[in-house]
Amino acid sequence: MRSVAWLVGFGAIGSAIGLACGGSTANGTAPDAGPETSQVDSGQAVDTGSSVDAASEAANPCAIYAGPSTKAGCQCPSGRTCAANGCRDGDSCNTSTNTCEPTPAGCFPGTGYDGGTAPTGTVGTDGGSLSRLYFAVVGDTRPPSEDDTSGYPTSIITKIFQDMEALSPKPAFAVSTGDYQYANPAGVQGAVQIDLYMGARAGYSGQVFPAMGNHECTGYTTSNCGAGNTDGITGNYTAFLDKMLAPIHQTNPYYEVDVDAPDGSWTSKILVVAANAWTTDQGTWLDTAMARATTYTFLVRHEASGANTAPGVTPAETIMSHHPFTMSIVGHTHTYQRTLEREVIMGNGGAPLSGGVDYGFGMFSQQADGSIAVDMIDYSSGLADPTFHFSVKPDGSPAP
Amino acid sequence: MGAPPRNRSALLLATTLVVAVGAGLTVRHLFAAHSLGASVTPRASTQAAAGPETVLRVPHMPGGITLDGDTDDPGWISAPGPARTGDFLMPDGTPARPFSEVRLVWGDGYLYLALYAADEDIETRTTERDGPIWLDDEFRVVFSREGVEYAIEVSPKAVITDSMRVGDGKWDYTWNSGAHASVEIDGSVNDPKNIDEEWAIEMAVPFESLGMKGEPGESVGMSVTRCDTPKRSARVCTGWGEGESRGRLVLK
Repeated sequence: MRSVAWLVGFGAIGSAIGLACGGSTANGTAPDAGPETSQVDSGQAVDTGSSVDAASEAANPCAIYAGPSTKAGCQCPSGRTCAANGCRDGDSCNTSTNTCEPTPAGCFPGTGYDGGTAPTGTVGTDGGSLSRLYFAVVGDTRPPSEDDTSGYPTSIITKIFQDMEALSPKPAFAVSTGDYQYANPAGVQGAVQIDLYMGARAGYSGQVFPAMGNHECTGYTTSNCGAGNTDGITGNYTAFLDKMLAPIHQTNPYYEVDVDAPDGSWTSKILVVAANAWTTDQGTWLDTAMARATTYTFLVRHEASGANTAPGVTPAETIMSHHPFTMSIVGHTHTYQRTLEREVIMGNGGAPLSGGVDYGFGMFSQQADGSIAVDMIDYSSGLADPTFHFSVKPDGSPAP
Repeated sequence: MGAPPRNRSALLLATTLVVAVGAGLTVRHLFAAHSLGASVTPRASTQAAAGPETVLRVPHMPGGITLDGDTDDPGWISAPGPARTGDFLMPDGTPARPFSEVRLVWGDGYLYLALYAADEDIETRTTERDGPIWLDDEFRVVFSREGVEYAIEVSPKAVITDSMRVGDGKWDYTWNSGAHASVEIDGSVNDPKNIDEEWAIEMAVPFESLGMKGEPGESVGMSVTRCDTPKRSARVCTGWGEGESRGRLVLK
């Protein structure tokens, strides 16, 4: 028999694997069958008494794997930061060999997401005031090939925004991590594709703050758009500015959005960085903005620190290294993954998937203790992926 | 028009070199795949028992195509649009990750294929035609017709290795398909330290080399395998038109 403490207090206690793979959530339904459930302050559903017997465990090939949020015997390499299971990069720990491996397809199908109490307040185009931070993230929505507008993932991004709208409580606002088109930069298909995106985006009634991706320039990760930059003003860049930034009254692809508590008990800034429209002016802006102290600082950029061929990645990372921040939210890679302690990729918004995960959107939810809980809501099931869940303190360090 | 030429990684390769490696290469090929832990789905055989087929009706291209790696030509984007394989599948039938897809049109005596590969780490070492592309990230397209299989493998550098065999005989690498391929890459090849995005092949295969005339109503069996070695994972091969649900193209 192996007892299961289902993600108590977000996580990492006991072995949730048997339940996650073969228990009440295995068919993609919320874990309401079998043992009673209750709620904890964090808002996560908790199974208070489930157990998995040896026979069902043996029949369940997922049972030997411990997801990142579960303590296990895999050994974290010296000097590296690992998840609770001793592995990195979202890998699972094979508990029969204590080796880290990619999570097998079909394991950890998800659990119900409870975002807690609905935040009060509003966020407009220039920021706002909320009782607590609670926002969604979606990124990378484009067809596989250039000008392949007939292959635009309209149905996927439509469902994502509809799911976002239907989530209870509804996210107070959203950020997007870039790449809304894949079009010849001198052609017209980029504008057509962004129209498709914005049509889908209309399914969500909250404010969306978009970051610029490499496909909003020429398409190449190395490209750099904007007046005076190597690639100048492309049609894709113009379509992004006109159709996505103008409605939120932004004229630059880099900007700041502030969301604070009504009583001033906490403050936050969201800094949207454009690594494919990098200039020294943007560097100065970022340095100045980061120097202003806030309780939380989120950076939203398209390319992760590892995609360092984008012109603005390395200079932005250098500036970030001089200031405190909570989390860098990126896309570019069509998956979701916590790549560093303070960097998370959310790029599974409809573009051709590169990792072994599904489409979906991320959720950032401020908890009563001030930590930020991060989750991914699966496109197919509408459930949160328990292998991905993590929490951070305002300074980005792991929350208990 | 696309991005400035300095950014382009487009290569246009003529099919000129032929290396007569012959049957020995087949053995090396299979051994290499095995030693790398490849998850190779069974290759379609012309002698295999007939099963349900997945038929793609390939439209005549509605406009011109310039073989430059970009698929922004009228031949690709004008109505009615190309035939699509959709998501490749893993050997267990689940959607392939990373994503792969092929689009097809035909005209002017050629079958045109746009092969797309999402890829976080593009790896390819083979530089010579008919070299061991099967050790690299690759697409392998196999056409089957009248008891003959024609295999064309292409790498992220648009290097081609082609071969043919009769029935279940040995693969003959002296065969030259006459295929032309160009590539567009977003990423840095053979540099696992950073994150790549994708590579795409635009390829033209002359019908003549497949024993076809290139006329409406003609058909040919086709399967496609894409192999990739992700970071931190074993090499994985996914495909379309293989196994029990074999693929077939019909020219519209």
